[in-house]
Amino acid sequence: MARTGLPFCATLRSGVLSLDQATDIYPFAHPEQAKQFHNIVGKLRCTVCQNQTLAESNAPLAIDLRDRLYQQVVAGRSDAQIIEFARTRYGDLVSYDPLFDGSTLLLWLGPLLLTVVALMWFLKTVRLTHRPDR
Amino acid sequence: MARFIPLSIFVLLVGLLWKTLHADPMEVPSARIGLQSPAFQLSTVEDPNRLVTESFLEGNVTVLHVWSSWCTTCRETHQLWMEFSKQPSLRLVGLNYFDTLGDAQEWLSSQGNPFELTLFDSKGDLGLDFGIQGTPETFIIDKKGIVRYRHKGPMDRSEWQEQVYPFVQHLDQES
Repeated sequence: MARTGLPFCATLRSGVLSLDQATDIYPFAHPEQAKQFHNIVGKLRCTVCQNQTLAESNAPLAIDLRDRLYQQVVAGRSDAQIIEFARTRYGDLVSYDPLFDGSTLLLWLGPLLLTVVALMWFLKTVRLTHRPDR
Repeated sequence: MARFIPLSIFVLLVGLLWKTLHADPMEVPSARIGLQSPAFQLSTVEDPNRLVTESFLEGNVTVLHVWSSWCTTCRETHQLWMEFSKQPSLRLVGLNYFDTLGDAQEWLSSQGNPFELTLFDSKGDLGLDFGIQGTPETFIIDKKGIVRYRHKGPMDRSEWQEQVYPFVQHLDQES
């Protein structure tokens, strides 16, 4: 079978990167940086193994991206800057938190809208069938 | 009339879910489309002493093909690129990704070199800036250096002839 470069997802050995392990592979001078790094890789998606975060995935792309994010954390960049770095390269999908913009309006407001419609429909039905003078 | 509202919402939802059920989740839209191609300074596989920057990509429509010598799919489709490179007024540039110079040079000398030049991105920096997910991938960059198209995975002849090359010709017409 033809193997395309890079995007294979390690399913056999895909341990979640614990904070201890992470500190071993990625040494930090300050504990806050370790925490920041762990937080960021935990909420960004590996776009190759889409059900895994960058912390969990061992796909080569995820490892590479993790290393780059580590360098940025060490360089003292903020969460927002680092997430923007990933987003400009891999798009909105990279974030497990969907953006709130025009394309995700239905996603964010849809459930609320459905609830309101259902409630209105429910109240109307109740009012129609339970009239006191009936 | 009102009683059709729940039904229509249900139908709408089913339609939406049905559509997403058949969508390919790996079809990730490139975040680079419509943006200037990233800045870089890389040597080339053909001449390690030559430094090329992003300005090289401007002025002509460029087809940028990302490949690696360790990528078997790239090997299988290489002859197609040799064939494509013969088409008139086509500027084909390679981007060698996460590779060693020796392996990359060996590849081009043994299988033929369809590229005007091949950027040597051994650490994958430019690949990352392009947001590539794996090799092979192909980008089309217009005369102003703006990324206009991305194709993931191996290119086949019909895709090239029916979509990609016509798009390159279309961009050639732009001023």
